[in-house]
Amino acid sequence: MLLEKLSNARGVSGDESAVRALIAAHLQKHVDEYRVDALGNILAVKRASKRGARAPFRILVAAHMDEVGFLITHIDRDGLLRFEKIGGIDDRILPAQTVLIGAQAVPGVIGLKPRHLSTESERKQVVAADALRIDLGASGRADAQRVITPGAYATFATQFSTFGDNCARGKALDDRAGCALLCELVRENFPFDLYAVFTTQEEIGLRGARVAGHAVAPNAALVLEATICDDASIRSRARAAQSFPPRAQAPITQLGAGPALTLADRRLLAHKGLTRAIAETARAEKIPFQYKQPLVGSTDAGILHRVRGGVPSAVLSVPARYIHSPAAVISLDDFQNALKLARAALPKFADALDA
Amino acid sequence: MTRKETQRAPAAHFPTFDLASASLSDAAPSAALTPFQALLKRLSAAYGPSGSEDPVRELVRAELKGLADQIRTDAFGNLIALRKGAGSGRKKIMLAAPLDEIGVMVTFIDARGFARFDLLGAVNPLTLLGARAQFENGAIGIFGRETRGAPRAEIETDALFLDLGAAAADALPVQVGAAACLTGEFRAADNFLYGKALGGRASCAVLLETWRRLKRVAHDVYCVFTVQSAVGARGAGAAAFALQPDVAFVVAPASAQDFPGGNSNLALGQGPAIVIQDQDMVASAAARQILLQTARRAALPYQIQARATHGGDGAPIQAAREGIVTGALGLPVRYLHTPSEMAHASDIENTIELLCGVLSNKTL
Amino acid sequence: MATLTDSLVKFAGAHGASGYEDTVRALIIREFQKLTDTVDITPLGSVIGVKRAGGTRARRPSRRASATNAPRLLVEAHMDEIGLVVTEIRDGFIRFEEIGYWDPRVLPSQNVWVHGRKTLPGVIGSRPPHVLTAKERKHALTLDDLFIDVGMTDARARELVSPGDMITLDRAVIPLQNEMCAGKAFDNRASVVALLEFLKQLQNSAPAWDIYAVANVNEEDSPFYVGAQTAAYAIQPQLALCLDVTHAQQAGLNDEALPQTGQGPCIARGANIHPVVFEKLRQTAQRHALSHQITVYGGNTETNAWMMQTTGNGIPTGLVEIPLRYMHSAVETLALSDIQGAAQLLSAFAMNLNAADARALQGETFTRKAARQKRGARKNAARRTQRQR
Repeated sequence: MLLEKLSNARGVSGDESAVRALIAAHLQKHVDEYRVDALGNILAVKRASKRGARAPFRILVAAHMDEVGFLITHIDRDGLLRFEKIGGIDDRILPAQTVLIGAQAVPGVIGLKPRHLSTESERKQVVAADALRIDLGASGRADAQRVITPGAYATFATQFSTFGDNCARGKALDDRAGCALLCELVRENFPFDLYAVFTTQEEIGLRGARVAGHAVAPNAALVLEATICDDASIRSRARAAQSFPPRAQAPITQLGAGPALTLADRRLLAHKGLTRAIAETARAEKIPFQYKQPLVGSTDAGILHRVRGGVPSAVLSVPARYIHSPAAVISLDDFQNALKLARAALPKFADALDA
Repeated sequence: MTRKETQRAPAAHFPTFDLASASLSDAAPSAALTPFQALLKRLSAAYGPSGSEDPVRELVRAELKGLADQIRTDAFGNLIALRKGAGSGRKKIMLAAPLDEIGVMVTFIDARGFARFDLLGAVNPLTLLGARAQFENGAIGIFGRETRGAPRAEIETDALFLDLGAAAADALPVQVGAAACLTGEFRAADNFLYGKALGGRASCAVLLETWRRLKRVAHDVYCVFTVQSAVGARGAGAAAFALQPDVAFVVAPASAQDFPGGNSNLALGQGPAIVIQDQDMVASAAARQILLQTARRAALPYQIQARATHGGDGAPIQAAREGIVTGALGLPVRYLHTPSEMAHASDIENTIELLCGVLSNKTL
Repeated sequence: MATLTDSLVKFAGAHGASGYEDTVRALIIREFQKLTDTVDITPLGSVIGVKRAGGTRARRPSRRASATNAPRLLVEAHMDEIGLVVTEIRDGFIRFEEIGYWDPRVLPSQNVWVHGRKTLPGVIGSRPPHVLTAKERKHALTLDDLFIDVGMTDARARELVSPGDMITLDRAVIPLQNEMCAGKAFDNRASVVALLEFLKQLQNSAPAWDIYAVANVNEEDSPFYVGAQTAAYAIQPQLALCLDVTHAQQAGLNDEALPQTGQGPCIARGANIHPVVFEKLRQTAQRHALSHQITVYGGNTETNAWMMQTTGNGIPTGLVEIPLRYMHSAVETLALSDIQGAAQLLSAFAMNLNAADARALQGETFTRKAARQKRGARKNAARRTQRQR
């Protein structure tokens, strides 16, 4: 399954080459052309199936290839590795994690002093990432240097699997789920020029998207993402339904309620016409969908909509529990419905902008 | 005097009230609003939180009639008006003022119809207590606060909600994603003018009035009324990229805190603030010079803004393409980002005069 | 090293805070005129000096079109320094705001120049210890606590100084042991000196690429790195190198992971840096036996490289940094050999650039037509060999 291969592929913001190679091989079977730019983005185009007299409508559909992870910054004298977090990772999930480092996937562990040896007050403290180390089992710096150089990247060591009621768990579903959706979309023929853009460095500042948007100069853009799903941290469904739930208990999205359509997030006020077109398509085709809670998070659309003279943009996401952790969880029903909805809604974009 | 006589009409210097026909806004005995003040009132009252600027954009478009050679709206929603110049070797000048205002957006509606929200722009949650929000369809909400547990001094957005007076969630006149602006009726008290969003809307009025006064200038002048300025100057850069002007001047409110315990060196009534730096840019030296020289030559009062407090539309305009020489004028405003932004009529007038002087300069 | 010291004294001694770079720009234009073929200024005031490929002094082309059609190498250093700006004059004392990022603790008792109608010497005053309570002495000073004394009455000060006037540090370069020195504005005049030295080293050679040397405005006071971003947009180079300074091991910061002064310039790697550019810089240093160090950055390098990389359609970017102690103070400290080392690394790099490098920087491309033709050609070749058998 392509989603499985993409989830297991390793590409932290700053070195997405392994993910890029996997996607490029798939694109060669389906697109007319692609190129890789200075940021490592793949800019692929599948031209409109029917070409009329006028210049065809250009839609840029984007998903980002990079995942959150770690950068090895220094090898200590004792052979332990210092690291920097890449992308937003909560320090509290780090202790006792396993990682794979560099192109050779050298295994390492993030150890924490055991309970037996820590004091009561220490156990109440969060250990910051710069106080933690990755242990390779090396005998010292020279020994570690045989297999690792500072500048190498490390990923969580999770392997993808399906489980539960048609759910999947794996690392990097943010945004390999979006990449998988886009890989499926390029199999189709559309009445517009489809610019399938696989971006880099989204997690450290929407950087790949900025130059991709400038180069493509599309008429409209759709970003495919995996987004925050915090329904599990609401203490119980009953409590959520009662009066006066505090905002912290209002779910951002819910697993299984369908793909999430963005009204607004921290960096984007989604184009109203495009968003309405997607919602209407969902209702007409009877595809379940939900609105993501407004003004939370950000995506490549946050920069895409501002490039050049402005680009009308929308965002469609697969809800994912525990993103930015070693194992996110998605519903494969949500994933399939996201694909159905994107496929059906994209041809409506041109008219939605004329209206 | 007989008792009957003492009960007759009050002394001559008190105005007579006819309660049946008087309305509160006409209660003040001062003269009716001038046409310019009436424009400010219309602009202040217009609905236009970031991302939902349609009503205020249409109002400005109507005001531009007869003033512009071309008017269009770009893909972002910026309103761009052009007046062509008459001179040969003419330059392209871009003037910018923000259309949008701060506000809130509904994020969640509970079973009983109370709406949770998040902020659009630099809203200080302290200013919401007791205030009202106004939606595009006219619905009004009252800001309420969870009182259980939290000490009075701390106000976090998460502890606030909007009460629209609905019996249940399905009776609510608005949905998740709806945006609201604050309410704050416009008033003109002698030279002190106040109302919600007055800072940004007065900046728009400055552009309109500058055009009204200058029939023709040598240069091509673009007036750009930008959108989504309050949420990070999102619209301005796109407009500058498309227009590629030779020079740009931004007019926007600047915080004046000349009140008890206030913290800034800008004051009302001391003239527009020529910006040296704001949070995101250092204004171009050439543009600073043009503004300073024009003010001095015309003996106009001005202040200097050198504190890097908030950002604005200037930075993304300056960074467009190969770079655009960009300057900025701050309209001093007390109580910025509250329902009662206050400006001084002379500051607005002097900003208009300064801009007229800049545009009339044949060699820029 | 003597001429390098003179150069550092001249440029670090010039006064140009972000947005007020006129004097420094004039000095740089004079140097560029001696060392490059054409000199241009961007709308925001950055200076671009172009040295044409092949050493030909070609006619003046436009900024974007290369007369020789050679690939373009951009090498830049920001010419602004952090400074202060007058906000008001109160009772003859000058209140100020920062231009760029200062720790107020390095300002008390510093000598400054106030650039008003005249250039006035001043001192950043503070209350003497005799009148301070023990409690007050423990409280770190903020900008609002500080003021500048120019030794004048209020009326006289107001005649000569206005809000908006620039203020810079008054500090001559101090020679220290081991050919190290200390002074103000080594961030980033040390890199400007390295840039000029780089151009001097190229004088008698003919690089295969066009060299665009850029002295940029406003790196210190712009979250957008606006000077570098707009200059790079105008030039659209195939490769951009940024020259800046980085934190070295120093008093109070003894981390072994940090580079050291005197051990050579730092070559950066990480998300902000194109991997091919990093490799080429490192190989150049190794092949020419140049001392160098490696710095690793997960994200924002906090230099002009950050915005140059995402300008236009994207630019392959590299970063070379001179190790510096006590950054953003009047006693920034470095080793002169590191400035020399940076210049040598860059000139060796520029001299080695050829057409193959331009191709290596272009990413992979694929077209269905070309792939079909390739498959067709392979099939034909296979059929031919079969027929031959």
